[in-house]
This record gives sequence, C-alpha cells and structure tokens, in this order.
Amino acid sequence: MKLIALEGIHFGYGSDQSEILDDLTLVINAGECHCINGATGSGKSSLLHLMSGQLSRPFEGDVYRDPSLLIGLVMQDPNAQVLRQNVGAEIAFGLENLGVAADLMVEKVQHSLRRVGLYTSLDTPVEVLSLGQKYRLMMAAQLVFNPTLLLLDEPWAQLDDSGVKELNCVLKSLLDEGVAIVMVEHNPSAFVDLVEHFWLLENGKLKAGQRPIADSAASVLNISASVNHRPSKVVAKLAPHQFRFVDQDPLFSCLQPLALSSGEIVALVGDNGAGKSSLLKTLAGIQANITHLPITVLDKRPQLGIYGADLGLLMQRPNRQLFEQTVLAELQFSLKRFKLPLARAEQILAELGLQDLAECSPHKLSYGQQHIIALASLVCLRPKLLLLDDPFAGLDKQHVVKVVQLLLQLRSQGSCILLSSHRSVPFLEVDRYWFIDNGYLRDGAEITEQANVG
Amino acid sequence: MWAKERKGVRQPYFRFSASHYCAAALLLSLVLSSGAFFLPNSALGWLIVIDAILVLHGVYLKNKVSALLRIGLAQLAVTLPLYYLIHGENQLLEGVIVVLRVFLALLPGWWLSATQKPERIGEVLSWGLPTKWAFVIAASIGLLPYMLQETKEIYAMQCLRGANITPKALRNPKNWPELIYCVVLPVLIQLLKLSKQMAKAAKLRHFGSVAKPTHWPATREEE
Amino acid sequence: MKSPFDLQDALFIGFCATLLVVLKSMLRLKLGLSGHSMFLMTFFYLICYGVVNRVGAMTVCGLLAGLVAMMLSVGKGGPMILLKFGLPAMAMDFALLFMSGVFNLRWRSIVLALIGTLAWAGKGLISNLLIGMSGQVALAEFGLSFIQGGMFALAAALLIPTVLSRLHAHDLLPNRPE
Repeated sequence: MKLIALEGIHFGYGSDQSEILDDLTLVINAGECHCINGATGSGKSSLLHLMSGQLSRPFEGDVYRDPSLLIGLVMQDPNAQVLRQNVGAEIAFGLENLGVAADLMVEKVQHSLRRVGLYTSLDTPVEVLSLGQKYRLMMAAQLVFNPTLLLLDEPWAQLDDSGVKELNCVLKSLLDEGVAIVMVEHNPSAFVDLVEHFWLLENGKLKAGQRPIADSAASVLNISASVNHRPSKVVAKLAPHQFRFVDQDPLFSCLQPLALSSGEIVALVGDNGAGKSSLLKTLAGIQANITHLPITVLDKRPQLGIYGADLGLLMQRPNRQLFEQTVLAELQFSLKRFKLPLARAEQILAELGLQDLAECSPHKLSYGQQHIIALASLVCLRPKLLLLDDPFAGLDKQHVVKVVQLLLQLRSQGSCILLSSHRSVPFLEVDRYWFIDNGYLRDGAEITEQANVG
Repeated sequence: MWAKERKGVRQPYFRFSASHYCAAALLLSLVLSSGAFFLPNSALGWLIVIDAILVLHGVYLKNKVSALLRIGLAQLAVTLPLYYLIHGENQLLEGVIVVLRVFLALLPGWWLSATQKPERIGEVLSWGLPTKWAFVIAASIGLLPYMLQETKEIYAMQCLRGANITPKALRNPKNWPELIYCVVLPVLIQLLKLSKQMAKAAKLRHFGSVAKPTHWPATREEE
Repeated sequence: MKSPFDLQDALFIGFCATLLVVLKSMLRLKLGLSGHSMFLMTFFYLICYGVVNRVGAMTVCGLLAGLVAMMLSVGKGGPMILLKFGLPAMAMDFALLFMSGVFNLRWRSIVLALIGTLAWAGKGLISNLLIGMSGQVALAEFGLSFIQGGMFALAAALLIPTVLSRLHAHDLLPNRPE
C-alpha cells in the first residue's frame, strides 16, 4: 500500500544558492525500510522534514499522502527533544496534544514503552537514561500515537554499539508490525539487515544505492602516516585510582599506572556514560565535583588556566565555541591571546584547502565544517597535549579525513593526542587504545595489535 | 489562631488537595504582604503576631531565617542614616517603623517559598495560564540544568582557548566585554538553536492541534 | 493575553527569562552594589526585543521571569517579585510604542534602558510612600537607586547593538529591528 509519494520535488534555501532537492522522486509503501545516504549538507534532513510536513520554507512539487498516513519523526539529538522530566509524561506529551482522555493514557504509554524495549517505571526521570535509552524514549514518544511511517535522522552517530544493536531489534519488530521506516544515515552498514532500499542523495536527486557490506565504514579511509619515532617525553601520568564524583559510586577504577607521551595518539574507548568525557575534563582541570585524584599533566596538578597554549580540549559539539565574525578571526583568537604567530591561521586553512572560507561567518558553515574549524583553532596552537572528546561524532567521510589529517600532522610535530570515542577508530592509526569497560580503565596494548591485524 | 485554621483546611471532608492548600497559602501571603502597606500603625501589632507565627512555622520546617534578616538589616542600614540626615534624631522611630513595614511585606513571601514546594506553586500559577505559556515555563525550568551546564562548558572552552575571562581577569572591567562576546553570545546562539529544535519537536508531537489538551495523570496507580 | 508569538519565539523568551532569574540569584550576594539586577534585566529584555522583534516581547519576558522566580523561590519576595520583574519590562514596551522608527538601535536601547530603570526605581518610590516613608527620604532613596541602576542598565544597553548585529551577521535572526 502506497503511504507517501514525492514527485518532482524542488527545494532550495533562498534564491542565490543552488537547489538542495532537484526533481526528486520517492515512493514509500507500508512495511518498507528505506535508507538514504548522502554527504553532509546534501539535503537529507530537509527531505525528512519535508515528508513530515514541518519544512519551514516553501517547496515545489507533488506530495501524495495516503489517508492512513501518520508520520513520526525522531530528530538527531535526543537531548534537544526532551520536553518533560519523566518518562511517562514525556511519552504522553503527544497524547495530551491530541486530547486523549487521561485515563486512557497510562496503558498507551506503557504499550509504547514495551514496543521500544524499555522496561522502566513511568516515573523514571529522563536524565538518568543513557543516550541510547533516550533515543528509544524519543521513538516511544512518536510510536504512542501509532504512526504508519517512522522517520529517523542519523541514528548511528548518536548511539554506541550496544545502542545500535538495541535499535536494530526494535526496528525489526516495528517493520514486522507493518510500520514503514525511512532513515537518513551516512553509515547504512549498521542497519544492513533491515533495509530493503538503499538510496544515495546526490545533486538533489535520489539514486539507487548499493547494499553496503557490513562494517564497511571502517575500511573506507586509507590514510597512511609517516611514522617517525622520536624520543618521547611523558606528558601526563595517572597513578592507580578510583574515578568518582564526590559522594557517588565510582565510575571506573584504574588498577595499573597509565601515562601519555609526546608524539603519540591514544584512543580512549568506552560506551556512552562510561566516564570518558569526565576523564578528559579532569585532565584539563575543568571537571567539577571530582574527588582528589593522583593525576599530573605536564608535571602539574590539572587546574583551569595554568597550561596556556600547552593544553587544548575539544569538547563535544565544538561548534558551541565559535563566536567570531569570520573563520579567520576565529582561528586567530587563541593565537592572539597566547601571542603566537597569526600566520598559522592562514597556513592551516591552506593545508586544509579551506582558504575560501576565511571570510565567512563560522555560523553559516555546515556542521562538519564548523567542527573542522573548531579543531583547527586548537591544532594551530600546537599544544603539547590535545584532548578530544568524540572528535568523529556526526562527521561524514570527507570531514573525518580532514580530522585525521590534522591529528597526524600534530602528532608528527611531537604533540600527544588523547581522543575519546564510543567505538574503535579503525580509520586512524592510533598508537594505543585505552579501554573503559566493566568499570575498569586499562591500557589495551594487546587488543590494539588484534585490531591492527583485523 | 492561624495555625488552627490551616489545620482545618487539611481536614479530609473538605477534600482540599495539596494544590488547593498551596493556593490558599499564596493568597494568604498576598493579603499579609499588602497588609504591611495599607494597615494603619495601630494594627501593625496584629500583623507582627501573625507573621511571627509564620516565621515559627517556617523555622519549625527547618528553614533558615538568616537571608531574610540580612535583607532587613540592609534595608535598615540604608534608610535610617537617610532619616537621620534629612529629619534628624526625633523621627528615627518613624524610620524604624518604615523598615519594619518593608520587612513585614517581605516575610510572607519567605514563608510561602519556605513551606511550599516550587512545583506546587508552579502548578497553582499555571491554572490561569494559556497552555502555550504553561508549556514554555515548564520547559524552561526543566531545561535549566542543561542551560547551566552549557554555559559552564562554553565558559571552560573559552578559558582554555585563552580568553581573558578567568575570575582573576574579570576583576578588571576592561575584560567584561570579552565575557559577553565569548560566553554570552555563544550561549544565546545555543538558546536560539535550542528553541528552534524544541519548537519543532513539540509540533511534531502535535503541540497546539487541539484547543484543550488533556493532562498526563501525574499521580496514578501503576498497572 | 492573546498569544500570537510562535512557539519558537515563546521558548526563546522563556529561556531568557529563566536564565535571567538564575543569573540574578547567583550574582546577588557576590556584588555589593544594589542595582546590578538592572544590568541583567535590561540585557535580557532588550535581547528578547531584538531577537523576536515585536512589541510585547519584553513584557512577556518580564512576567515569565517573575513567575519563574516565584516557582524557583528565588529572591524571597513572594508574589511581589512579579511586579519587580514585570514593571520595568512593561514600561519599556510601553515606551517602545511611541518610539518606532525614531532612533537608531543604539539610542533606542539607551532610552529604553533608562525608562526601565525609572520604572524600577519608581516602583520602590511608590511602595516606600505607601508604607509611609517621608517624601524626602523616599526621594533620596529613589535617586540613589536610579543612579546605581541606571549605570548598570546603560552598560547593558551599550552592548546590545553589537550582540544583535553579530547574531544577525550569522544569519541567526529572521529580522533585525530597524
């Protein structure tokens, strides 16, 4: 049964730019699963919002909607979609707005929770859920009014591997119930078992895509680094400790001493919520409410404002730190403050091939570009230790390549880089992995070898 | 006297819910506060007695009066010297009475916030609010921890990037604009983006599609 | 009140109001000077006006701030706090009605800031007179708080045009107040 059909869709932002969607055609039938891939900025999200009828600007073309069509859309960031404080009220939000009687709500909400495999009390505060659970909660909040078509915007980037696994199960059972699913995803291999139709959105048109081989995302990038082993200096030392917030249970324990040395890249891998971000912030001296820990960075106890240009930290969603009028000014900001040569800003733009952006407003760039600019503004300081919190999250291949390029360059200049990720990073040649799992932080030297062989 | 009446309010056959009780408390504090403005001097004694009971009630529920006393003393420190300078010694007593009235106007508010849960006050206040604004207030308060976290993180990021906004640097007013441009501006940008996303998320869940939305039963028996 | 604000604007105003209340409560004891609350109030009210670009935005922000302050039990004022936040905002919006297109943004911000301060200090004056304070003392207190508050409000008003023009340069605002 045809649920929705798009025909000859044209759409663009303003008259001066080329069209994002150009004569696009797509038909979705009940129970089908479609996956749309495409570079950042190719219009994937616009397409989803157009289907859901929430596009803020006008478009041209025909949209057929079956009378039975009811659309649910789960947007990218679960945190920006939470509207209430506890699980039950969050899911019931849609029901309230449809005027469903209060005494019918509890059953519907519980049914919807079960459909996404969340078995938690209705009074559970939303904030205690993991990101993966929050994502499924957002799905439940859509499923509660029984949509016949569910749209998902980039689920993979938000979730760790266990989250993806759970999501796969949920989606499978939804498809079995006859719900149609359209997801926009730049790593379709993660959902390869479910998807029947792969599409590539390119130049405003949908082209039939090829079925990806499972986990192909891992091997697409092949960047070789010129490894030069110089005598290295210890940059940070962690003595055995229990990592915990004041008056709380430990997040993890570190049983053996760990160290970071100049000229190496170390990847810190663990599930969402394992304590990766907190560890990085602690190393930078900006984590509040943490117990006294036996950690020294550059021979000092970490504290805000003592390292100057020697330590850099790129937090998640680094586009938050952008504020200057132009990209060039953004890159020069720290160089000015630390009295370093301003020419480095232009130099790094040239190396990245982004000179054209120098005079642009950083806020008009795509998410990936903003990410690169924020990273470049730290890399051009040539810090002795650079901490990166999930630097590959939400990036497409093209931008991952640029991040890798920047990191390898920095390493060859003798900096130490510690980056966190919720999965291994096979496209970057790291020197070592640190793992946080089952409540232990450990150096995974032996596991790295396996990964390299594999 | 008042305590007795409040007890009466809680008797089951009135079937007053906690929210009704809160509404009554709100009204009472409003009346008492206005009393401080409009009652003649001769009636102030009664007001003091009633407010004293409120203070006892608040202290009994383990609330601190120190903040309140500090405000009272600060007011005294401003007003009395002015009275002394302008009217001389003989009218100092009048000044004291004025400060007393200000203090009596503030006291019921302290009692209200000391004895009533903020959520409960919010519920009562939103009785008269249109759905949209009730939602806006609930969402804003719910997002408060997130907003503060964002602000802290942006502050830390910019400190690490070398911005002159450390507490020490901020002692110099020359650096205040830097705080506005590096921290407040990005925070505003985040708020703009967040409001856009949340509005979209709410509309995707049919916000505003019926004139009289129903309400999730906050207290219920789990099935 | 009819609410023709769209949800996005309403949420933004709500966020500003909440942030205003919380920042005010955090700053309250750190700065010894009274009147610093006028800095935050003026800043956030004018930002709301600049971003939403409508008469009424400031009033809504002020009233929401008052409600939020009551709900969060900030500034132990009880119901009176609604007036404390709301009055300056209403005065500013009211003044705006007579000012459309008269000044450029910088001067408009400055005038609005001073009017807001006037309302803020005036509220103190009226309540002091009601309470029975002698006229001279009340006037002296009024003058004192107007000068203190006015300085803070002015500082905030001077920042507004730059902040708004930056937001506008980033394409984040649909329409700039002309």
